[in-house]
Amino acid sequence: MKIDFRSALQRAAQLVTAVPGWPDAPWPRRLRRALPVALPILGVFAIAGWEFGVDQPRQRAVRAAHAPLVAAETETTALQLKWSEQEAAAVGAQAAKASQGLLPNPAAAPAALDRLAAAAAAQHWRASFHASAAAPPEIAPGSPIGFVTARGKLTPAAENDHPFPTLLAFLEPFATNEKGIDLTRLAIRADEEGRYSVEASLRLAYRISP
Amino acid sequence: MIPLPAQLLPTAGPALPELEPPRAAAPRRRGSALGLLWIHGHFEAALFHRQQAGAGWSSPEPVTTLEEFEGALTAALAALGFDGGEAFLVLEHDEFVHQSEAAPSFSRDATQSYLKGRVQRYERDHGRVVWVGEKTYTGRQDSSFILHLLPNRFYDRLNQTLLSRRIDLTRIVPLAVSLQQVVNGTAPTGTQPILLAAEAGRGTTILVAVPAGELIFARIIRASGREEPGRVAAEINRSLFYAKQQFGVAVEEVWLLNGSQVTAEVEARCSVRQIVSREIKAADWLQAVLRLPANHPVNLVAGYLRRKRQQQFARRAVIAASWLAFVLAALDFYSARDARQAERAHFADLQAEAATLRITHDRLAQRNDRLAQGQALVQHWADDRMPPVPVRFLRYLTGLLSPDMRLTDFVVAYDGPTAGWSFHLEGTVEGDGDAASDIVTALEQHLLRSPLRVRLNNGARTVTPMPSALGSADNPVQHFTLEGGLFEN
Repeated sequence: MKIDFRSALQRAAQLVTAVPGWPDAPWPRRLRRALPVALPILGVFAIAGWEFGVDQPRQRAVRAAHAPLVAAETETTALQLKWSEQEAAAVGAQAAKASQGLLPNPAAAPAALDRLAAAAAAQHWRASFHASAAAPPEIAPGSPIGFVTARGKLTPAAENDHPFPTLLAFLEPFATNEKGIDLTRLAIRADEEGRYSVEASLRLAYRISP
Repeated sequence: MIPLPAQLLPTAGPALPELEPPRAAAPRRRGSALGLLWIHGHFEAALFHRQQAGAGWSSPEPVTTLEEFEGALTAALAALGFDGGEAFLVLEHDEFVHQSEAAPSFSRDATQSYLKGRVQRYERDHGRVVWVGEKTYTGRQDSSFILHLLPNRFYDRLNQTLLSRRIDLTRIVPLAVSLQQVVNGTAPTGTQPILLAAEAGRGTTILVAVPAGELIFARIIRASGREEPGRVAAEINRSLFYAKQQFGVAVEEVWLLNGSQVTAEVEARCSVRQIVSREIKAADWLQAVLRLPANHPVNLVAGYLRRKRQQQFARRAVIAASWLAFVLAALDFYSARDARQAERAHFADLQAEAATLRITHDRLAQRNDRLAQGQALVQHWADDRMPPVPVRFLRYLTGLLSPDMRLTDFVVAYDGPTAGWSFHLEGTVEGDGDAASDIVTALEQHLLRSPLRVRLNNGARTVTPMPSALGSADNPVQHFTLEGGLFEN
């Protein structure tokens, strides 16, 4: 459909400027008649001109000047929102608990094995543990935890009249997995006379410093 | 009658004296109207209030031109004390042309198109006109109309004259309409047509119509009964013959309005059953028109008024929309300004606390790094550690062993390549072969149903008698071996 814009504009101008009963009214009179429409429209244009020509460019300049600060604030907010205080506390507690069971480094393994032997002695078992010097520490790529392997032998002390229950008591901490020592092999042998010999393979977890 | 649109667009006409611009409308007295009668040089004005005739004024001088009309109007307004309001005009003038047209009657659109074409042809010769078509009686299948044609320039000038005095002209009708109203109001209703001759000004209008029915035809004679009674009577007689010949209508009754001077002439010349002579005042003609609605089909300015109302509505809508847009733009501007001010205040706060912000940012970054490492540590602590399978299996097995069983060898080991756990069990069972086998089988069943998800290696299962040194015929001892895997991890 073809729209005759010129004719439509003429009709609109006629509607706005026509003086009733005075078809050939002079222009000043027509303009005065158009004032009720022209004034608000001029006002709208003035507002738009001020807003788009003055205010918004000025505001854009202010924004550009403060962009680094705004970016820092946005980042800070994002950092703040990434972890809630409750989540942070929970993760911190879990990490602290995990860290407690870890050795600080592979060099601390002999001391940890000595403490393990002492724990066996408390249950009337003679134990000797030693780290496998030939085996390199196990480190998975990207993991904050590494492992040192160790072997040990246990035999009941002479005064140990109940070797099996005391052995279970010694092994009980390994059942909860709370300590940073994994039992990878357990071999218990008892001969016809009830003499026990125990062999154990261990894996001690240590913390890899970031 | 068929209402037809009027052509009301202003056109350039002959140069006329400049008029004062219309003044703003003053408060009007509700229900008051000014009736104007301008017929063949005769001008009268009457004031009506709520349909009741009030004071009247008649021009002592003939009024033929628009300038004279303006002067007469000024005098009438001064005499009547009318300060603006609604007015209507009964008009007969040399410029106001009535043209009879026969039009096709097969459809209304066709009739209108035909009449419009006739008007356009007239306008080519005489300039733009305000017009309306009045349907008349024909007695045949085709339609007949009287086109009332008033030049636009005449109308504009007339309207300007009135508007400049705050008078809104709402009706312009020819005298015939007023006469029809008078007939309808005074003549007995019936189907018999009557001829009406009314003297007004320097002319006489003759019409033939059925009371309360259609107009049959109307004529205007430039002769007055006072001056030329014989000629008027002759024209009345000719009209009677014309009605009979053209329309087959036998008129038996003649009404003479303000025409007592021609009664004797008419009686002498015309063979009719009855002649009625009445004196009608201009106020009566005007009052008859006052009762007509503004949208009467023969009102020349009905279309103009309709268009004027539409334009007024459209103009008010445009004004309202413009102001609404302005108010919304202003509100938006103030709202945006508040937002900008708030943003600038925020920037100022940021600037003032920049150092604190950076410290907080660094602290949070460190905290999050620490938490991420802690989370990774916890995750790997859970994923990389080995489950305590050996101790759990040993405790579980200890609870399953019957008093007749004794373990001599217990091995549980993690198999790295298969990422699983395997076990090897050896021991002794007191009893003969079958009983020992049942005990071992029961142990196997328990293991298979255990939560450790044991899978037995059937090829490695053995239950064999022990050497005699350990057992005897009375107390046999069997040696057993079990191997398998554990799925718990």
